[in-house]
Amino acid sequence: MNNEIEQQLKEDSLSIKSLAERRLASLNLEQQVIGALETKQNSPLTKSWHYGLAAAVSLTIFSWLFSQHIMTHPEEINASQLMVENTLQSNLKSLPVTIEQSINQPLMDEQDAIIADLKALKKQILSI
Amino acid sequence: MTEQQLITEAKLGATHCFSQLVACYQVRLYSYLLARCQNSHDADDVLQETFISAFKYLDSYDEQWQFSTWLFTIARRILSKLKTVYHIALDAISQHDHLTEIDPFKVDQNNIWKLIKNDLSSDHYDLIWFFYVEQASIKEIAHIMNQSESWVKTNLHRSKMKLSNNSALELMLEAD
Repeated sequence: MNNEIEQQLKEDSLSIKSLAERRLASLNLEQQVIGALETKQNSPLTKSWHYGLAAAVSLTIFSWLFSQHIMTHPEEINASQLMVENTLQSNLKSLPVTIEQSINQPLMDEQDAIIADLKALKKQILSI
Repeated sequence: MTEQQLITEAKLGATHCFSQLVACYQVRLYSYLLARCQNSHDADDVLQETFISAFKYLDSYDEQWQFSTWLFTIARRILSKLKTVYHIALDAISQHDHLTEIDPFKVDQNNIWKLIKNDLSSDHYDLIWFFYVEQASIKEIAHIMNQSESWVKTNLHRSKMKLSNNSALELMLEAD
């Protein structure tokens, strides 16, 4: 590549740099970025999956304790043994789904919000 | 505070230190994005997203690389995702007259960076930018683009040859 092109690339990048500086003067980027970071840090969304996971773990422990109680007190289970086993089994079966929903649902909600924003932006661009 | 100290403090959550890093690098990063993006709104979005991601993943920053290298790496990744999301919308409005209103080159139609955009692939465009404008080393460019050093050297050479053979560029330079 000849020197002229090289020189032109460097010179013209300076005019892009001037444009960047002019636009940044009105953007107030630092405040926008810090504001966005602080909003994310305080967002309850980041904490909701913790509660979901804690609920799932509590349910597991409770189910285990209940089953232990049944095992140490056999005289109490004669009448309702089958019902309890069925309940435990259905709880255990639904556990993966409960955990999955607790963790994924906030992420899916966020994804839906992003898609809605993109659709609004597309509408805005098309109306220019 | 030195850059290293700012980064260390920012890793501990000091957003005011991170904002100083933003101030240091915003012009360089934004210049690249304005040259690279289809319009200034995309450049604005990617710029903000890059710094937010940089703060979020600051713990993964490897100090053997320059901080600017790391920022450009993040920016390129976001750009590649942006292209996937927006290309449908941009294709739909590519013939729309009002697109020039948000064109970063609207006041500088003869800017060589605009002229070579159609001539080079986005990777080659980036290579030329990082080599001539950022004056990054081959090693740094390879890291930014997630390629080997030999790939960078080969494709840099190809890009230069392509620009040398660009007759529109030749005419423009003769006119100057």
